[in-house]
Amino acid sequence: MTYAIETSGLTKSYQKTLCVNHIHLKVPFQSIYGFLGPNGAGKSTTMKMLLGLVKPTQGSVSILGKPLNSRNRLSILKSTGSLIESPSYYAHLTGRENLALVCMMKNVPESDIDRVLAIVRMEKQQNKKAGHYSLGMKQRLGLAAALIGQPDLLLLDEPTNGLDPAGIQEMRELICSLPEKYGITVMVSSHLLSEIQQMTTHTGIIHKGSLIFQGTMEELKKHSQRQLKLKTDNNPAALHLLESMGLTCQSQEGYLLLPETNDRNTAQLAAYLVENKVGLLRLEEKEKSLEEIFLSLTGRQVSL
Amino acid sequence: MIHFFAEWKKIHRRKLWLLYVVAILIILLWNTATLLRNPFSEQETLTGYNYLILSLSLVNQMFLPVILAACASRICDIEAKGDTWKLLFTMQSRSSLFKNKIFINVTYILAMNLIQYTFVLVIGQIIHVTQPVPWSSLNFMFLGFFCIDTALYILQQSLSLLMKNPLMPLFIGLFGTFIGIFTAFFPDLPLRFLFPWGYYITLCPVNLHYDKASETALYYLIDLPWPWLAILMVFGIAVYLTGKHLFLKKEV
Repeated sequence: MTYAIETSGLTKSYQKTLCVNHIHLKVPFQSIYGFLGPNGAGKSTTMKMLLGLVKPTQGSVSILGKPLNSRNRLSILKSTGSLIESPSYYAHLTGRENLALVCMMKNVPESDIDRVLAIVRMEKQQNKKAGHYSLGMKQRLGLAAALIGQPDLLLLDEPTNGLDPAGIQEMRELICSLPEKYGITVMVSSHLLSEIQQMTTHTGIIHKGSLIFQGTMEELKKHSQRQLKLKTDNNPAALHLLESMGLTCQSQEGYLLLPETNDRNTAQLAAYLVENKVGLLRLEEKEKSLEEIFLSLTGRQVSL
Repeated sequence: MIHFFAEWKKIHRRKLWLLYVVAILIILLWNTATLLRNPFSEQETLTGYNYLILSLSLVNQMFLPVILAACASRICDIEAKGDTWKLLFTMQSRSSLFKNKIFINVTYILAMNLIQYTFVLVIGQIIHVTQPVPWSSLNFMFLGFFCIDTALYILQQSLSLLMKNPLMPLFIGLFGTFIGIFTAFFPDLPLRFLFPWGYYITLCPVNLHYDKASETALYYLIDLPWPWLAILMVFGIAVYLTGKHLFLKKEV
């Protein structure tokens, strides 16, 4: 199977600091691939390496099925669009002039400008100088520039940074529509799990430079270890009884947590507690939230 | 070629041309005003072209290093301000960006030098200089100006592209102007050969002898300083290669 982006052992170190550690990315065609990781995890460095902006210390990159090297880099990147870290713009030129410049450099007819302006919904602001745009408008201009020439692959690094809630929602909807409407593969990085959860079909989690998970959202959810959560009128006695049954359990916030078991064992366990005069107040199944999965993968000390 | 025209498009509204227009106006007005204030005597018209060449070299020495620093800063800071590197380098090579910015300014430099060349010929006719036109010296002046301006521009562009603080290259340009003027006051010391900013005088094909007793100045042609021009060219090439190499390595 070929991928829109495939890397093999991609590594970047600065002097003795390892920023990206042997990453094997696999981004399927026409997917929205969420690249998730805390700040400083190596997301931007990885994306810059994918575009050839930063030279990898080791490893290889393949974009749209073609191995990327210094000779063919620019010709391969003609089929891509990118928005890395912050939007690029010429403050003294209008939004339209900025896009005309990108058209010229990508050798794309200027008629494409109206198409991308409509996609990012900034037709009315196109004749204002980019220096006078709000951050949200600059971000849209950056996205419009990335969409010039109908790229097959779009790399967006934290595209919702600095946007207000409405802008975030709009950007999210826009990104979600790209594969379906235009057949574009999108790789989008973020440090916000909720954002990735709402937008992407595939996810890669990077932590301290290493890719600790890669797969679909469903596969990520499979990492959830279900538990039984019970509350009794005498938790210490219940804990003692359950341990005497050979079960490993722990007490947490007034509840007892047990590893998930089948229905029959659950019924026996409940009966046993009641027989020993421990009143069962609540019995529920607990599934780890995505945030908990993420934290368990990256370590609890990491804040999102 | 696309990237060259893209550079022109980028400097739209930046009024880069205005800096060159201001520079040439200062240079020409300064020289014209001097001539109006102290018109040539009959004796002086015999060496009129020599005077004009030396005078232009001095005025260039005073203004151009800092103007070229400003031009380099103006064309480079549009990239830094808008953080355009990450977009540009997915569409063009770094070396093409480096080269095309130089080409744009070399076009202006060439125009500025041609205007000065024409100025010498035209003003010589207007004030009835009787000296035959010293073509080889005049052509050498044109070539010298072009090489110094280009070398200094490349130096300033390299600094502007590599330094994070945009004011620093401007200070260096200003410092260079002072160094150039300072070294011109010591014709017997080899200082002016060491600093590229002093080469407007070093490459001037005219020298001056001032006779204190009669309080007269004699402007005379000297052998064309080809070796110093060659050294300046080597300097320019070295700065270009070093600047480009460092720019190619710059992290974005």
